[in-house]
This record gives sequence, structure tokens and C-alpha cells, in this order.
Amino acid sequence: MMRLRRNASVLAVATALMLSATGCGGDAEPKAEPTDATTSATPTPTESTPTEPAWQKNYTQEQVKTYNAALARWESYETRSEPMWAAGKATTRAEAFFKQYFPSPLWQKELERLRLYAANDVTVSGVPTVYWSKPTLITKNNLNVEIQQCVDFSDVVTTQDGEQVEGNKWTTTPHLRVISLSKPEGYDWLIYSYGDPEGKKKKCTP
Amino acid sequence: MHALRAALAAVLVAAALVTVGGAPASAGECDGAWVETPPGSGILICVDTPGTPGGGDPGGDPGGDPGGGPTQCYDGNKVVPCTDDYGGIWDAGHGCYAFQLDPQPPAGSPLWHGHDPSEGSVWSCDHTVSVPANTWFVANGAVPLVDPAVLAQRALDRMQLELADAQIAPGPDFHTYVHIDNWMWVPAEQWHDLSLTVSAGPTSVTATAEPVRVEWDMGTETVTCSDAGREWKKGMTAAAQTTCDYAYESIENPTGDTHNVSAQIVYSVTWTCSGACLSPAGDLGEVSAPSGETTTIEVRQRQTVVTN
Repeated sequence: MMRLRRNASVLAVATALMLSATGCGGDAEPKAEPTDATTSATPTPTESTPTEPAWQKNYTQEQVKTYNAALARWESYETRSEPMWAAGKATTRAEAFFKQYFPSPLWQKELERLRLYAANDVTVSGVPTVYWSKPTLITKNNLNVEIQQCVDFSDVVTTQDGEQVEGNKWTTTPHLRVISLSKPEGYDWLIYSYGDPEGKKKKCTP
Repeated sequence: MHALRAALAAVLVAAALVTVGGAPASAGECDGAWVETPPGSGILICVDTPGTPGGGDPGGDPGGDPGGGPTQCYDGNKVVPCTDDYGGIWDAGHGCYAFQLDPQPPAGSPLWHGHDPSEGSVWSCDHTVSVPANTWFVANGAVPLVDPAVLAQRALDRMQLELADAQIAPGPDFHTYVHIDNWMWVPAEQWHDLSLTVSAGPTSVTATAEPVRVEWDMGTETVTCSDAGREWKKGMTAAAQTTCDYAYESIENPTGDTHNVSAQIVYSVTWTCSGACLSPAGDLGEVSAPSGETTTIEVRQRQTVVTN
């Protein structure tokens, strides 16, 4: 089936929709619920984060621990989902996997995306390079975390019909990504959103 | 080609998590939709997309019986499905299919917009991400409920009703005669109850379809049998009984008539509702499943020669 050949001119509309679809905190200072605690905390998995010492001063040791758990959960998702995107097949195993990491109906949407890839012979291999991570929100009840990361996708290979698809400048330009996770009662950390802050690409310094 | 797509797409400076439906302004090259793959990567692929939720699979019966059918949903003056494929409920106020996040985020999440979870619930129309900009708070008692009959109809639409495979004795390899009872049956494994649950928001409806009869098109008239019938097996005696048979009364062609024979299972459909329900139970009446495999029967007339 022909995939090309449509004179589309709806970027503005699409962009508006995108902007309305996201609303994370961008590169702003933490909108967290920090305390005046000055406890030292265990290092985060992103030890190269230049701002790490600064942000840790704004949180309790418990909050830092919460953040590390949420970050580990996200990293677990990104690592464990990679083979599924690379295979590009929507399997029952994939469905069970997404249910572990997303609330409903977000997990269904992820599965649908995998089906879309399968139907269009798309595969995605590799994971983004994460230069640093920091929290923009850790609620005092330690159940909600927003993570801001500086990433680039140079090492991610997307193919369609067996051919590699080249990215645009943002593929290799370090930019911000925001991930929101919450831990509802009876659940592990679930991913409520991930993507560009406020629907926009924003450069960051590695 | 893919490099060209990507180059043309490079003007897209604002990329969504999944930009289905959007397109680079100057591209004019994608007959489906541009999708940023993976989200946030700046790598855009052109894909064929399936229909949007609720767009091609009506959740209700917009043209149904106004006397007892499900409630209709409207987008302005236009009738729209009341639910979508994700269990979303049509929200005329927001102009989209709203769903309740499941599980609800814990207290303190920005998605609560400052409310306590005990006060209500968080809803959204965006299936891709849940952020404060696309979620809203709905107070207890104000949760929109979908007509359970709509969900029951949706469950019925998704149900795989049995397509009856018509069987007849004598079969197509032989022939019968007028005034002779011919046995009809559908495979026993096709005669069973079916059940399916569909949820929307806090409402779950289980529809159950119970087979109540089989309607046989014998080629000359329609015959009703109250069950699947009994399979005729070689070696049965003339004393064997069945619950479903039919005898042709005459033929038109002196050398014999051949009729196509088909069967349809008729189901009685009822539903029960759990969770938050506008009504606890109801029924959708009787529904005929389409026929499955058809068969043929040749009918001949016995010729009697009287000799003295």
C-alpha cells in the first residue's frame, strides 16, 4: 500500500494538538515539595549529573530514595521494552509487559503503537543516551515523581521496510525529556507520561 | 526514500509523543500519518494508521429503536458512538471520549489539580499521556455514566456468534423423497452460551447470548427448530427420533428439485451491569447470527407403477 502522497498542511494543527497533549515542567526549577533537609543521599544512577548535588539538598533522604526508585523503574522500562520495539511485534507478552508499567488506557495505547509498527514494518533498536537526570517533582508522600532528563537519540536506529530512517537535527541534539511516574496503592511505579516537555523540543547541556 | 521522508520532516520542530495525524508542513508526502519513532527522537516515519477509536466501530446503535434502545450520544447535532475502543465515554462538554485513569494517581499528583482523591476522580481524553494539561477532576456524584445498554450492544457487536453449519440427512451425496422426514442439525459445539464484558469508566456490562432456536431455510420455506437438532449417524434405525426434521411436500421438476439449505442460530441476549450503573440489567432481545456453511438436498418423487 502506498504510504506517501498526501499533501498535508496541518502542521500548525498538529503542533497545537501536541502542545495541548502535554504539560510537563520543562527546564524549570523543581516544582517539588522540598524540605530543608540537607541529608546526603545515595547517588542516582546518573552520577555524571552536574546538578545532582544541588537538587539533592532540596529533598529529604526519603525523597531522594523515592526518586531513585522511580528513576530505576523508568530505566527498567526503557531497557526491557527495547527488545519489543526492536522486534516490532505486538504479542501477548508485550501486552502483559505494558500493563506492568502503564495505567489504563495508556498501556493499550503503547500496545497499539507496537501494532502500528508491526503493520508498517517498523523496528526501533537501541535506547537514548541519557546525559543526566534530575527530579522536577517529588511529592512529600513519596508517591509521585517527575523526572527531567537530558537525552539524545544518536544510538537509536529506526528502520522501516528494512531501511534505516534518518532522524532530524533533534535526533543528535541533546534535549530534554520529562517522565512522570506515580505509585498508586497496590501497584509498582507506573508511567503516566513521558516525552517532550510541554510538547516542545528544548535543548539541554550534557 | 526514507531519508527523503526524514529530510522533509525535519521542519517539524515540535514533535509529539506520537504524532499520528500530524505532518511536516512542507512535506506533502505522507498518505498516512507521521509518527515520531521512538517518541521524542526526532525520527519520523510515515505509517498507515488504523481508524481512530470510536470512529469506525459504533459503540451504540444510533439508528436503533427510540422506544427501548440505548441512549444516543451527540456531537452537536451529529450522532456519535457513545463509547470508544478504550472504554472512553463520549463527553460532549470536552468534545472527546473521556476515561477515568485506572489506577487513579495517588494523592499529591499534579493530575489531581489540588484535589484530594476522596473528593472524586481524574479523567482525561488523551490516551497517550496523562499530564495536568489534559486531565481534569470530576467530583464524586458527577462521574459521567454511560447507558449500560450501549455497552451491552457494544459487547454484542464484538461477540463471535456462531455461524451455523447446516447439516442434513440425507446429505448432498444422496437424495430424499417427498413426504420423507429429513433430519437437520447444527454441530453440537456451535450450540452454547456466549458472554463478553465491556467497560466504560466505572461501568462494566456483561452481555450473554443464549441460543434459543435455529431457523432453517429449506429452500421452499423457513422452518424453526428449538435446539441444535440431533446428528444422524449411519446405522440408526427407523425408530430413531430427532427434534428437528422437515419433509418436502412436492417437487416442481419431475426429475427432482435441488435446494440450498442454510441455518441461523437465534440468540436471546441479556445483560447485567456492575460498578456504577444506571440500571442493573436488561436485554437486547433476540439476535440472529449469520448462517455458516450451507448444504444442498435433492428431492425426488417416488414413481409407483401398478401392474395387474
